[in-house]
Amino acid sequence: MWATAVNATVLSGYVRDAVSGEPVPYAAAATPDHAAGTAADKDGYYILRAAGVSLIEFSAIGYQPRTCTLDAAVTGVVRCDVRLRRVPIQMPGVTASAARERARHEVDVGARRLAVRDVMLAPRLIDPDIMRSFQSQPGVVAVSDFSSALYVRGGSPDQNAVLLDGALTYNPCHLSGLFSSFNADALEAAELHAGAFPAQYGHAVSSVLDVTTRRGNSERFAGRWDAGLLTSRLLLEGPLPKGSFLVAGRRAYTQVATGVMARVTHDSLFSLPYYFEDLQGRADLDLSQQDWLTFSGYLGYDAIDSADANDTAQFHWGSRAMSLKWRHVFGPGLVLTSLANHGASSAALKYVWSPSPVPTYDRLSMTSGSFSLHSDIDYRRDSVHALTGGYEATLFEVSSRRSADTNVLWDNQSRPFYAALYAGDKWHPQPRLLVQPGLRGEFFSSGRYFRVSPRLSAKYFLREDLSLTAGIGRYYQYISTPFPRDELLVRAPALLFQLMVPADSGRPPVWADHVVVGAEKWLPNGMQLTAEAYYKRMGNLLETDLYFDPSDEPDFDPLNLYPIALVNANAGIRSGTGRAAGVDLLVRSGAGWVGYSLAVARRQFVGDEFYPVYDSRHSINAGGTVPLGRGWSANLQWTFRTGFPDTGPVGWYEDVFVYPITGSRVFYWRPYSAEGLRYPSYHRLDAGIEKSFRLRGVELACYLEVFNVYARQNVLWYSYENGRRKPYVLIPVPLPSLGLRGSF
Amino acid sequence: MRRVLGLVLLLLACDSPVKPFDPQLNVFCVLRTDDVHPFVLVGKTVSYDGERDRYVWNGVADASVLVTSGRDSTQFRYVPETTGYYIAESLAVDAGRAYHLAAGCPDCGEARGRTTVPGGFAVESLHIDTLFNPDTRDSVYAVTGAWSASEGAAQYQVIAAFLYSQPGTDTAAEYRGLETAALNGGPLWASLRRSSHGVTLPLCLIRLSVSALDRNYTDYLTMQRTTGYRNTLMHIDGGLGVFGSICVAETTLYLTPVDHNPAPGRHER
Repeated sequence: MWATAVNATVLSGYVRDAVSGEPVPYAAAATPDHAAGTAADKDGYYILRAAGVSLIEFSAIGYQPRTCTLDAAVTGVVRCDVRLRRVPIQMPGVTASAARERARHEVDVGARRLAVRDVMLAPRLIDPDIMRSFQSQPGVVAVSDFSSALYVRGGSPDQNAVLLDGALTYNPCHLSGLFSSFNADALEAAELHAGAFPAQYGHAVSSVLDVTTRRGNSERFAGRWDAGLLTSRLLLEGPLPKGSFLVAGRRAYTQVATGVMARVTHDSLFSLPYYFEDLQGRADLDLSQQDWLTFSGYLGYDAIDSADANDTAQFHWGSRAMSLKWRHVFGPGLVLTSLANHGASSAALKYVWSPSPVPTYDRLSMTSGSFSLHSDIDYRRDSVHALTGGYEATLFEVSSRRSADTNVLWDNQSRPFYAALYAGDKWHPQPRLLVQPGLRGEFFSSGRYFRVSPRLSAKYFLREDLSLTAGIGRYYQYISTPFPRDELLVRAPALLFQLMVPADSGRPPVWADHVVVGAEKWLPNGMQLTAEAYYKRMGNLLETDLYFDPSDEPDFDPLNLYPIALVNANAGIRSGTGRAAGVDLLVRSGAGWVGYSLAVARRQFVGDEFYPVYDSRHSINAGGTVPLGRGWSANLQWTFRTGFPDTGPVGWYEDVFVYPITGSRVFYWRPYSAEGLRYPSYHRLDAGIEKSFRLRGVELACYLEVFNVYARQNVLWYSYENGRRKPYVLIPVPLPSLGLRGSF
Repeated sequence: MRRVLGLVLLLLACDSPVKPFDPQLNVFCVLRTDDVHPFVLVGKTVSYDGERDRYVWNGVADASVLVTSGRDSTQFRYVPETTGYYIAESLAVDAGRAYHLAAGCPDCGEARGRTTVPGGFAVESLHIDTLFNPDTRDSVYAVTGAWSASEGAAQYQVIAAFLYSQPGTDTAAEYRGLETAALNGGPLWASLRRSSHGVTLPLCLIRLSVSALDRNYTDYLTMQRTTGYRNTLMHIDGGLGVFGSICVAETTLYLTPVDHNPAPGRHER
């Protein structure tokens, strides 16, 4: 069943979409008997060594498998580019075949992959969102209906590295998480490494989300558009000489919709003077059979402009990411990928208070970003070893400036330098065993930290349809965001400005150890069962001072930016440890899945141990797409999780305030809290129905989606007023969304 | 077997249920090195959802209150008809010494606390600068004190007391300025220079009192400035409240002649 080929024919090439010419990432290539096989990378490039074969079968999720016949006389190096044809709806058999083929050749501990097709079909709150789609995966938690942030296996969102075509992105969301930055139309795939990820990845102690922009159609000019109630999208793509391009834009007109609601309801609370726009694109040039050049970029811009008689507030923020990638194939087994990239997010806030003749100003500007160069080299010496290695050199920039009128309250700038070298191997020592060792060495100039991160993962096939996996690794993160330990600030969209704090001589880098063990079982009818148990411990975590109260000093911070103020004052930052453990189960069949997660997370700061607010003990997700025929399809998604921990008041005690001058005493009743409270369980059903049709040569799809179908009153947080607990529900009613999209 | 394993996992994952409201002891006691008659307040908490009288301390009258330090122990006695006041006849509080509090009652358990009084220290310098503002015809006094470090102190509080004469009378009036968490060696400004008749009052003396607070009381004061409901900064086992301590150092600067304002410039001790 398993065989190691020696002195083999070396096949390499690209797997592409038959219609558009786009690369098909992570496609599998194997001999019919699976004696030899491989998986393409995210650019669709594969290298396969096989001895004396005449048939190679190519497969990928969402594509019809295709078999290529080789001339038996051909030996040595063979270039073989293949085109696969999409299937309308994912068929369990097709999906299982492709996924299973890949599983034969990749260790993939803790990896989850989503095709954008799944994202487009899933019911959405407002816009198709790849990050929200990952929230329904086992091991990933969403803290509210509002936020698209990912809490992966007990980690916080700042512990995730989000890569867009290899470029590190910063603050990849709009409106503090209501929308993710990425326009789903422009994406090809995304891969989440939820734990024990390989040595090529740095900058994160929790997870890595690797997002790939779609390559433009190299065959013809084409376009897509989507008009929804709150956003509209437009994508154009087409061929270039020796390549292709893709440009996708998106504009939200939230201020218009909420303005109408405010007028209808006569309630200004509904008015949100907010909008965003973003532009994403990619251009590819196939310079030769050995050289490919890819440029990709993203620009996003958010604005809230509010004004009344007394004051004017302008919040403008945005992020950008761009990368230039050169890929050179030295030979069929040796590929060099070099990348120059830049990613940044910046925010500016200007507050003008003008009841007095002379307006007073308050300004805040923050920037986080990096310029980076890195190269990866992949060398497939034979079918036993697939060596990989590379370097990275990154210059970070973190700055924050706050001024009130002419007074500069703080002006902090930091430009630490980061360098890394890594090496790894995908080793096939025996037919049943895959081992992936790796080592990453890192240097961070701020504080002069040298760190070495060993990583190891392995897969052992007990049977052809059953394998065991394990992974272990040490991870470091040199820039992180300290959060206050407050439920409201974490769950609600209050953190428009998140300050990143580099490690320095007094603040060592955040670290984490991951241990993951799991099993993969292929069931009849194309079903796949994966189970993983994990344990993670973390150190040098940061949080802002819980006890600082801006209302105590109203002149200090009228904008309530106290976490940032504390960080800049280098005060109120606490260092702590954490640990997380759990089990993730996933059953997948075609376009349907059921997932279960058991998770426990703990944090400890200054001797105070607690469950973080995103400790989700049990969660179940199920969803799927059902073709109904005649162009109709339906999609359902159900989410259940037990309630988050809550430190709520249980009683009142009397607080004694002693006046230092007179010694007189004043008593105040104050509530006191107890740990161990939990919010009610969260559950929600989303449903969508879509009708595809063709009108005058244009492919159209009309969709209706309903969020929170049975109007579950999920509590976002409790407020405690006058001795009574009051629940706040973000979306208490079914929220429909109607739209029309088309392609030409 | 698989079902059993699943059940075990579920049980492991469950938190212990929230207990029904259980009243807890609430104590307040701050020992001072300049006070030999400390008091302890003992009360009980009330349910968050229940009715309560916001103006009445829910005191406990039958508590046993004991403060010990090494082999010395002092029993506090209940002051009748008060809402939970317990006093000691005499308790000398020494700088740098550790004290333990145990307060309990038959139906409310026992609360325990421990404090180490911040170490002895001294005010090392004190001076006053008098500045005259010709526009407002005001004199502004800036009092600057410096003190040695108190071992174990988490925070300092500073009180500057100004004693001055009432014009046309033989009586003295006192004004105090307070600045918490003052910087050692930093100025404490006071603008108390005018009477209602526009006459600058003659200053007699300035007394500077510096209190070194232990961690327990510092955290308690920090909590008082918050609007939340968390109480994890309390350092009491088996209850809520504070058992803290303060070490006090004082000095006085006499100004001569007593019936005149200090001349512009610096006067120091």
